[in-house]
Amino acid sequence: MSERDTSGLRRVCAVNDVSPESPEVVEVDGQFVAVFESDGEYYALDNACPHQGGPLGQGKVEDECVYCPWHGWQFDVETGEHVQGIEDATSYEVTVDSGDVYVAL
Amino acid sequence: MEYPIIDGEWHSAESGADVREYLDEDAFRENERAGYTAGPDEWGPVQWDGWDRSAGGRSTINIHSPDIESAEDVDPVREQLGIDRVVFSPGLFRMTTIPAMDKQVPYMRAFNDMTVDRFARGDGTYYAKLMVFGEHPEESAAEIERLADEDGVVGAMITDVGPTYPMGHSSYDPLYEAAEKHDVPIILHSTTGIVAGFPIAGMKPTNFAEFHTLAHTVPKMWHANSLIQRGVPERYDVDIGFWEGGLSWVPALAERLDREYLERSSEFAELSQLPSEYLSEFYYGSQPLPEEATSMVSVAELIERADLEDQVVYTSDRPHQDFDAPAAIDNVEGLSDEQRKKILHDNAAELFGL
Repeated sequence: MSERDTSGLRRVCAVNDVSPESPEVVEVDGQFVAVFESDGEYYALDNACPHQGGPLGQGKVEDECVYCPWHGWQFDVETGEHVQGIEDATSYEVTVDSGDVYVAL
Repeated sequence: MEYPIIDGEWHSAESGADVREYLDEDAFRENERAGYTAGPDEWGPVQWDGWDRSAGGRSTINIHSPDIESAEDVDPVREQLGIDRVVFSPGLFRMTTIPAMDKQVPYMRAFNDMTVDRFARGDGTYYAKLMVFGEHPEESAAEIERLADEDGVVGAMITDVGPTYPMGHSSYDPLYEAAEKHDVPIILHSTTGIVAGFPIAGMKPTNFAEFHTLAHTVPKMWHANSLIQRGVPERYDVDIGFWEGGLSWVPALAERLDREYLERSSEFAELSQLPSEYLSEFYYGSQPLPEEATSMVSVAELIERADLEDQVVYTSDRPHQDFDAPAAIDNVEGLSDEQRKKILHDNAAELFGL
């Protein structure tokens, strides 16, 4: 039986699909979502960097921040906040249940 | 408004091995296999010259792309970015860092043979610039004579830093004569590869960021100043482009030039207009655009005041780390649709004869 209410959420991947070194990028209804793991917690951001659209899911993750591989813009993986305060990435609320990762789009 | 987007600069990203293939002396080519242009197929974050351009691996460095061997290999990324036509710039232009002057010329020739063979198509999609070396203006002029009429060759790029003179110096006359004769623009492009001389000599930067901030822009000012003061635009009918220096330096130089001219006109060459007006006649690559957050700069206002609407050419600088997708032009506030079209298409078409 499900431990959490996942109705209204979209399953994006299994927890095993994601590791700290290797975020997972999943397409959901034409949107690309990047799923990150950090210290056993899971986070999700819109894959498109707000700067010029680069792929956040391919970025280096360090100290709970992801760096967009295109120009190095730095975002908090949990909140999507742009550390330098210019433009935040879009973050999604994540629920983990029975080995699966769900996001609220 | 539908029109083909032209990228005035996509670096051909060739490896040293690619260029060495075209060295025409067998013994030289063999010796060079372990020589200056040798290196791993892919460099890590710290590159051949000791610079980490990736901020500790936080952005992807892609200067030499082993999977790019000819123009068509950039099709997938080009299409993904929405670019229709590409004017290649050299990838390995840091060959000016080769300390032995007598090695630079055979490398220049090999490089240009490779460009003509693999990147300059003239097929409606792929075009390319030759590479010319400031330390060898006669040999560079000979390269323009030799190859400017090949299909797809539409310009010549010069690495504008190193042990050389500012570009108003008379030593460059053969280059301008050849460029005028063959109607090819000369495009200035700096390198952060460590070249002896201006500007890194004396700058003593602590790290790459401190150097890179000024590395492309300061040489542009140095050269534009020299070109105008020595009257090169008066003597030669040659289009000159300033790539990767940004745009805000143009009014800064205009301010200083006009003031100096009005105080010391006897020390300038014979000019038919104010120095700043020549700046409005040069061409400028758009990359790197200022960040929106830099509120003291307005690109639209700068273009208006500096009369640069017909002079700015969209450049991506792919595959380098600080590239601008065409979307970056759409993001510039205050530009009209007509101005965006000029930047993304018309100005490059005019400059390169596309």
